[in-house]
Amino acid sequence: MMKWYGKYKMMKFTRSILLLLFLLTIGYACDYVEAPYFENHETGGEIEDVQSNVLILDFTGHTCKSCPKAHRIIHQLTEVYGDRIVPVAFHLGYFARVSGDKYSMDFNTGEGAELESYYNFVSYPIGLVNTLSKNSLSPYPSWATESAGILEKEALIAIDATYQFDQVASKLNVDVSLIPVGTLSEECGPNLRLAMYLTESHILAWQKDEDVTPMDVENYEHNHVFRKAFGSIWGESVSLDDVGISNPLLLARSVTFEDSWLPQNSSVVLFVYNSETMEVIQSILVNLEI
Amino acid sequence: MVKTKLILASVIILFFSVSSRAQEIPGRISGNFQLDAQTYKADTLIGARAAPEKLLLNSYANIRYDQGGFSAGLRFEANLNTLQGIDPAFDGVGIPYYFIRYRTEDLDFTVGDFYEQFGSGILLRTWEDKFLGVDNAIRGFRIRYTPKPGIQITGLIGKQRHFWELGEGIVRGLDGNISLNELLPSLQTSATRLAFGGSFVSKYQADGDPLYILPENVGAWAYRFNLSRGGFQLESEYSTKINDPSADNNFIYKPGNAILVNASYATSGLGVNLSIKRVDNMSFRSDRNQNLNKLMLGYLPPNSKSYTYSLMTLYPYASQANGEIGIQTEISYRMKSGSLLGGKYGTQITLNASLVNDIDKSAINDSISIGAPGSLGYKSDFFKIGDDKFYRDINVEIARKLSKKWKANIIYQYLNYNQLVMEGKGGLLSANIAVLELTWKFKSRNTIRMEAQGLWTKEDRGNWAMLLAEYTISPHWFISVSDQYNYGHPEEVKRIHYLYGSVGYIKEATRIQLSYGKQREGILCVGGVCRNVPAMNGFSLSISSTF
Repeated sequence: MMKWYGKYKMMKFTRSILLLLFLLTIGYACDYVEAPYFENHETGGEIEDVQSNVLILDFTGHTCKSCPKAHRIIHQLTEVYGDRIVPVAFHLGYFARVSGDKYSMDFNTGEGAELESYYNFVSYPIGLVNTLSKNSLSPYPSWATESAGILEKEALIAIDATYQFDQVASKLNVDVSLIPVGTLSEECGPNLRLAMYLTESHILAWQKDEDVTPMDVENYEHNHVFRKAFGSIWGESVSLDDVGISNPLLLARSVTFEDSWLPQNSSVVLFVYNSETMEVIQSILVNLEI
Repeated sequence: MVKTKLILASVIILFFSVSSRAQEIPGRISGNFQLDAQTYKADTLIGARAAPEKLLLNSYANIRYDQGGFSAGLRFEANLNTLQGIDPAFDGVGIPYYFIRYRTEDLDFTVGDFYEQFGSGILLRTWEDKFLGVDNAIRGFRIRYTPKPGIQITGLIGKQRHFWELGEGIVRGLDGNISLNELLPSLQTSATRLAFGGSFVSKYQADGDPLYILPENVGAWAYRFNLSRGGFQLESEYSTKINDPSADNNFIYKPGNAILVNASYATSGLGVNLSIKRVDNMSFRSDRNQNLNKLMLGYLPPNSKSYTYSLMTLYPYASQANGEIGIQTEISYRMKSGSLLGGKYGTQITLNASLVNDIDKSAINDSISIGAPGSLGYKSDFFKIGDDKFYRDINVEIARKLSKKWKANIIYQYLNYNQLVMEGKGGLLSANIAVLELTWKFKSRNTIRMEAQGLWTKEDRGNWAMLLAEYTISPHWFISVSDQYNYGHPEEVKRIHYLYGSVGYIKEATRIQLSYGKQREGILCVGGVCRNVPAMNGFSLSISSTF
């Protein structure tokens, strides 16, 4: 009798669980979305505090047919958030190889090869959003969501930069100022690094794009293309101990342009990160007006 | 999370140790072990990269305890660091899989990690394949209930494995199966077997995207019907899902659907198989942002034959979740021994054809291009076939025993392979492939197997030839040497010999294999799911065992 009663109770329990699962799945498990499918962004509003910008490293290639999808996400984000989005497009790996007559422009760099070896990419497009961590490689559709979360935060470090371009030597001199504006964790202090990259936009060259017909696009506009690092790709160690608004950390760095790079289409990307966690603390984009 | 894992693992290990010490307690411990190590030497000609670690290693061990209706198990994995070609996010050491299961006559509970498949798997198939770098096990709770013989209901909830973490999405699923022959006493002895079933799977993922309004709950349904009588069998499944904008479909809001029909007939010496598949926007993952083999919920079986001969695996077909329509048919006939064509020992002849195209796609209106993100994507006529050819495989295989010592297998294949769709480069490739395999069993324990293969194409890397010789001394030893020669490569400097040698030892359930040589860059596919395999040059060691 007891055995039968136990079994009866068990069956009743099971049915209840199944019913609950059924209700959960059938009743509440479908969200139909009607057009328009885009979020509405109100413009305006002032930034009173220094807010976190978002560094997006886009690992791409001109024969990667899916890569323009990632380029479009960056474009959409910059349309909404402007220069608070700090993009860098590294052309590297298999899809960045120079091939045939069409894909003859070489976007590869030594720094890109170093990153490829470090990250061991298995697919493109892939990227990093406000981090350099190997374990945080992120597919492009996540970039918008990840960026939105970071953009709401206040910055812990303010970065400022002024520049002067020496036309004769094709040399760009950049003066950088770093000031802590928030509370940096104790372990963060000794591990800060500043990295500076030169990028170029509005380069017209071939690109494969699976979303257009024909797929080979002749005058595709390549933007935010990584050209050169000011020093190491991993930047240099900086210390913000005893640094404040009245006495910011001041640094002067320079980079020499190659003949084919157009200064008026170039930008400088500066970012500070924690070399232990590889998390980016703040980044800025300086578009050169030359 | 880590703490919970450690506690659970400790409980399971403690349980094992107590059980194994106390031999009087009935129960069974079983498991298996696998280790794959590879050294990497840079070879710019073939595109092989050196590894900073010099040696990379993937290894794992499964341990399971069964006693009556109770089971518990775990898998320990150590990828130090992950082999090239597999996602480096697998780097690390840990216990990513553990479970406790309890079964009675009518109930079956699982807590922890589990693999599950609903129907043919179009909506839900969680599985693991180390060579592909796939492991999308669900961690959560599963219950199976059999109220009567012939009726089975399964409910589950959980999150999928994503390397060493869990994916963002929550998966909920319900599946029901009814076997009429088991359920109705009057049909129990019937030669006609009839079964049908249905599934519902839903996933939840928060919408934090500032650009699109995304559905947080996406539901999908499937209905299936199986019938068999004598040598005839029919299996079919239709599935559909609501709007599911994702990285796979370029963020379109079109509902998806897929249909799969498989019919076969087998009688003495003759086998006929026909399968039809149509897929329209049916990629289904628990994380809309993922790609490749990550966090897949649904599985789309390929409409193509799978091969083991090296050159026949150079251009494998991968299922196209965004849209494909295909048909595959295979006729196999065994000519009787002693007949004119069958010869003294009989001859097996197999004809196979697989044809896959894109589905028909047309623009919704004049202002929105096909597949534009943030739109309904496209319109598709269900019965119309798209113009883009994805795959053609027409082949004939003849297998014949020539004498007591000799066996031969001959294959000819004509192939069309849309390299642009599969690999993102090139175009529609045509190739002719021929294989001759001879097996010579010259002593009762000594066998030599030889393969000669050729692939002829004007596209991609051009023509290939391959020779292989394998010597087996049963039951323990085997040694093989092969050379794949890319003699038709358009660039003369890349007309390379890929020499590869292996020696192996097998004892009971343990297998050890040591290999050295060059491996070409390629694509590895298992059941329509593929990954890139980079070129490699170096030693590899593989050890596996079961207990």
